[in-house]
Amino acid sequence: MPNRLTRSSSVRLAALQTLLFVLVFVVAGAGALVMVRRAEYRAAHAELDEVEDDITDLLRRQGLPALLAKTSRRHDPGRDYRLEDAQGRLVAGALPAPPRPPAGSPPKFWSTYSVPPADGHVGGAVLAFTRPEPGDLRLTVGEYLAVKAAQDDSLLFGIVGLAALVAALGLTGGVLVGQRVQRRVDQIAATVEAYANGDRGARIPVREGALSEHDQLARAINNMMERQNRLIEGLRQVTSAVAHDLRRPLAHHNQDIARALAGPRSLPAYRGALIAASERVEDVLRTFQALLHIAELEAGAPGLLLDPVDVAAVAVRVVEAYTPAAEAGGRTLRLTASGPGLMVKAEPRVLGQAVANLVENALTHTPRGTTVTVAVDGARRRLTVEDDGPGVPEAARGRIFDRFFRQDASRTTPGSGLGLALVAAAVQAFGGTLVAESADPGLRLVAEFPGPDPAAAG
Amino acid sequence: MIVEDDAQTLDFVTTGLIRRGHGVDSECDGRGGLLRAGAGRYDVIILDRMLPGLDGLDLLKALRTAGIDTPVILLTALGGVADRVEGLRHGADDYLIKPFDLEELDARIEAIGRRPPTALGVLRKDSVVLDRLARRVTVDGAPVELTHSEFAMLEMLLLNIGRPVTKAMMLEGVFDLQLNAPGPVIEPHMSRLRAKLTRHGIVDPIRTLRGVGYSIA
Repeated sequence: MPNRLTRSSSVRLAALQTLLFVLVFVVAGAGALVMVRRAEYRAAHAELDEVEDDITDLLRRQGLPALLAKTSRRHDPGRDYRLEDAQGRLVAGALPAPPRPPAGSPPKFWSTYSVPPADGHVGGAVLAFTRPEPGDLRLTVGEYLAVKAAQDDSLLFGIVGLAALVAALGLTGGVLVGQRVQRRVDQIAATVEAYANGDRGARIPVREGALSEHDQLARAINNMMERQNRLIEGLRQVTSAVAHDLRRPLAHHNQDIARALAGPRSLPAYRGALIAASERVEDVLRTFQALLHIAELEAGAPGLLLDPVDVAAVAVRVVEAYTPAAEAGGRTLRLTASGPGLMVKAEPRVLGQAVANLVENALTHTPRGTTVTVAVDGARRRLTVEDDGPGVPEAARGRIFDRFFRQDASRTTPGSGLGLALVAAAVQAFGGTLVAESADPGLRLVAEFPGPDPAAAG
Repeated sequence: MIVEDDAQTLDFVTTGLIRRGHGVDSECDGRGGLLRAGAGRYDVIILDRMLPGLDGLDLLKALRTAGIDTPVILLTALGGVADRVEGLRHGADDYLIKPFDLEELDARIEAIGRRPPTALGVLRKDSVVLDRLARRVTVDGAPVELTHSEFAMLEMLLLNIGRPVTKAMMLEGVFDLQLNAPGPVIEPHMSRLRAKLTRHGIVDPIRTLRGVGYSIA
């Protein structure tokens, strides 16, 4: 576990952050200490200047006895006086003697020296000035720098302590967060692994509305797995459909050949059998072609160049092409258009084939006397193909776009069962959606296309 | 000339075309195809999309860049929607999707290789006269009312007198559509066209070529 924890990137990040914080704090603290010391020195100097002024004032107003009285008592724990005679003997006060000034110094001089702790005093560094007084006396007033420093140091220690606390908290927080993240990542990894090992239902748990990066990642992975499932399902469908639906014509093919071989040995009979056989194989090849075409469109047809195509113009051509066939079959084919022109980014030939397949589907799977209406609705950006035939039961309606789907009743009518699957793939490739509705009583297939890009319009 | 890497298809197409009276040179890779196309004078080049050595599209591009404008029919694999579009953009004159009928290929070779130099204003076959500018058809001088598509189908046949026009060619040329099975769509149009022409007491000028399409001899 510690091994895993140190590998966790968030724990490492937290540790690094804490380290940086401590480092910055130490440098800043050292800088602050130096500055505080300087300020202390200056403050002590200023206070001594004030004390000197006071003493000058005292001497002028009350004379030497007052000075004697003042120096013999300690008024301030941070300050001591020393009054000595010309021989350096202590007259009054408690401050140890300052070092002798170098010869030739002015009568008043400043000095910094160290005194041992004594008399309930901390001792330490002393900043002092010495000046001559009347009666051949010499006065030294010293400020204990250590007393001020001690006060400031306690403040500093407090800050350092606080910093240590913050660092500890940061590190603990980092480890906790790291463990949490690690758990989440473990969860994601385990789910993906389960999926990879064949558990198609595996999903990473995601809280509703959660927005963290892990939830986003989890959601993206879940979506990917779902899409993958749909593709696998499609593939499975195709594989089994290919196995079933192509086996039938190939079996018939083989039967025909067997029958021809068993029959009379005549060239015309053989020739007829060969022609029939060739047609069957051609059917199978066409089916393959349609399957590949659908697969290509479903893959988004890489490299497919889409240009704006006028859907109404395509519908006109398709209706024109199919009208004689519809009439020959006793059906009516109509075209209506409303609203503005419907331009869709598409590959014109593929769109043409899609519309043709919709019409052909309606003409093939309805009884004589049916009216098939192709409608282009520019305002709603829809192309609909609708018939007033018996329609498709709701249960089957959702599946009519599946490859090889054929209603039992239409098993005998010609067609590969791929027409509508191709339409669905094409509409999807052009960014649209295709739905089947009941037209009460007939079937209505609606292809709806998204609006043009506002930036591209005009 | 045909450039195709699949030996069986190459042999099938070559012998088939020779039997139909064409002179055929063949190449099985792109580089050889380019050399030959640059050297010889051909009526039509049949070019496979996928070739070893030099891709069919690249070969086509090279030809067009070199100023060789021999008509090219591109053979594309099953499905290849993108290939088709790209092929036409790169200067192919027509394309066929594999597998194809030899008849279909032959008809397209005829149509492309012997395209009339300039489209004439008036096309005629015996008593059938089609005026392309006035968009009018007469039989023995009597006007015949044709729909737009019937007119276009007759026009295609008259532009290719003596050569077959397949149903797929008609579907593409007249309706700009490509379908797996063009027959059920084209046949009713054709029977109407025939009925309108023969109503005037002439012998049906359009011959049906079984499994291929139609022609006016």
